[in-house]
Amino acid sequence: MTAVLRLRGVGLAVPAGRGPRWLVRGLELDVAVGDRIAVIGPSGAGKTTLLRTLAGLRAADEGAVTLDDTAMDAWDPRARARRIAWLPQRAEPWSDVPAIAIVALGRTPHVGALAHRGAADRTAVADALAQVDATALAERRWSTLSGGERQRIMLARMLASDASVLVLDEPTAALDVGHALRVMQCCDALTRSGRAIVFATHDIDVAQRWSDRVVCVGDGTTVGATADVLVPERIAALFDVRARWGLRMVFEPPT
Amino acid sequence: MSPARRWALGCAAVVLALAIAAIVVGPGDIGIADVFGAVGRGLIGQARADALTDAQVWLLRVPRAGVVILVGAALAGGGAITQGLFRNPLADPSVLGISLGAAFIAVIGLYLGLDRLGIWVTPVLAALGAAATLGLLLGLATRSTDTTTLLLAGVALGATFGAATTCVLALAGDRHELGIKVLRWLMGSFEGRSWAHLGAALVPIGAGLVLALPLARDLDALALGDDVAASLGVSPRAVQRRAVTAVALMVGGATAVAGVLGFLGLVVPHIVRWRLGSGHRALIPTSAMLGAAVLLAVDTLTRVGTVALPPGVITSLLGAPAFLWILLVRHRPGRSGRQHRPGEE
Repeated sequence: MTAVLRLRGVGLAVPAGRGPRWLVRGLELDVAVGDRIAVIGPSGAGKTTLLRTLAGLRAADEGAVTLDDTAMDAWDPRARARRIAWLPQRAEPWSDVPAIAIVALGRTPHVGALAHRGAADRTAVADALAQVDATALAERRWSTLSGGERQRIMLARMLASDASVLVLDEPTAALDVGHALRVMQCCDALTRSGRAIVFATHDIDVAQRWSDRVVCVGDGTTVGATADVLVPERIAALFDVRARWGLRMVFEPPT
Repeated sequence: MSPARRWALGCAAVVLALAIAAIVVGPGDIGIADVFGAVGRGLIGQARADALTDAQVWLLRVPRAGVVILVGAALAGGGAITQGLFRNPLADPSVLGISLGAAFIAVIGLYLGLDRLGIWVTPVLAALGAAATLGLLLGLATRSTDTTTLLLAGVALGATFGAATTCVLALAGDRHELGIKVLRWLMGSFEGRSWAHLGAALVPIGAGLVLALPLARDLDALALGDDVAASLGVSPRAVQRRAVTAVALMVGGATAVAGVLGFLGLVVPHIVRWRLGSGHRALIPTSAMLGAAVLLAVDTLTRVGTVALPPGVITSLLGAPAFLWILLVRHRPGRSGRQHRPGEE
């Protein structure tokens, strides 16, 4: 599959004292349609910085990031927004809007400053809500939605933009096991409908279950197949814990 | 017909009706037929300056009503933009000290006699004062997203500009004429506003409104924060720059021509958001029209009684309880009423 996003020799740094502190160096990563990529690492290791770089919200400090073989910074922001959608860890509307107004924001890159939203936009919004099984939530106000419902509405917002790469920063953080399961099921279904997802998570179980590849940030940046990367030795070193294989409870959607 | 369109048409009709009432109400026996006759003659350049009715209607009351409409539209429209920009329903040009910042710089201009250079000087100075205050507040807002911090910062800035304005007045202690002029202006007044004032207000306020309308979608995109806005292809910094310019022109123009009028920019957008939702495409123009209608009603009321109260006093008397109501009752999750829907614009 042709890569939509390509990272070549990417380094990411934050200012610290006299010079930069490198969070990621020499990262090579291809993101293609259908990919499910998890980004894991300890707090402060650079997961969000990497995701923001993938979403085009920050430039790489070294190396190259290309979207459809064009340098990320050469893209018009609105055109880029039609290809990549971004979900931050926390995003709350400042007024108590209905869910459908949040989803409609996803059409922003498609609508001119003075143009009306048309039938195509309304259809895209309705389709996006249907894809995350949230049609019934459309008229509900934000304050009345549960954490899981809010995340599904945010997913619908990303889908309404028609983007093919969805970048999500800890989409299951602060969700109970049931809501987390349903949000990840939605994400999983999206990869089967022509999209790629890249998500950060603190939950190793979530990464194991819902990704095909993993980027480990914080140990010199490892990229590989989930089964190869998520091994006790690496997890132990990465999070400074003892890790071993064992039995664990498995959660499934209700039948 | 969508609710937004119904509201727009309704507000336009109310503004027209109140404008006619504002021209009719006042000393002298002037009827609606006299108003239409004088306005018709005025429009074709045939107003008779020597005829009392024509002079009263065309030279005094029509420009006054025009100034009131512009100022009401500027303050309420500016309030709607300010609230979207700060993502805060309590952000209002008067609450955040923007109007007092505009007034302070304009008063310095009056003190130095700069207003004698031309009628455009005071609006320009007021716009610069409003822009500087907004810039300070935006700088604070990027450091702290806490509503209380922002409001307290606005209150502090307003108090500082108020005190600084008083200092300027104290320095001009022996210039009684200047002191009275400034005090009356600070209370908010439409007394003696002429075609020249209307022209001086029209340029900045019109420019501000023209700048503001294409901002509507971008202000909507800011609803979920700067990062999400940027991911939607909207540059938050560019929106801030354009919004600050638009609000500075609108509030600066309004303050320069009418003084400090409190709370209009807080209450009117809140009512419109309550009924029509948060979409700025409907919110900004509808707030502007409703603001014009409310200020026309206030100005007409001030001229009905035997004591002519300054309109700034009335807007503050009505607006302060409304501010408390929003703060204590409506500014809570789940209490924002009917909201914006895609396609309802």
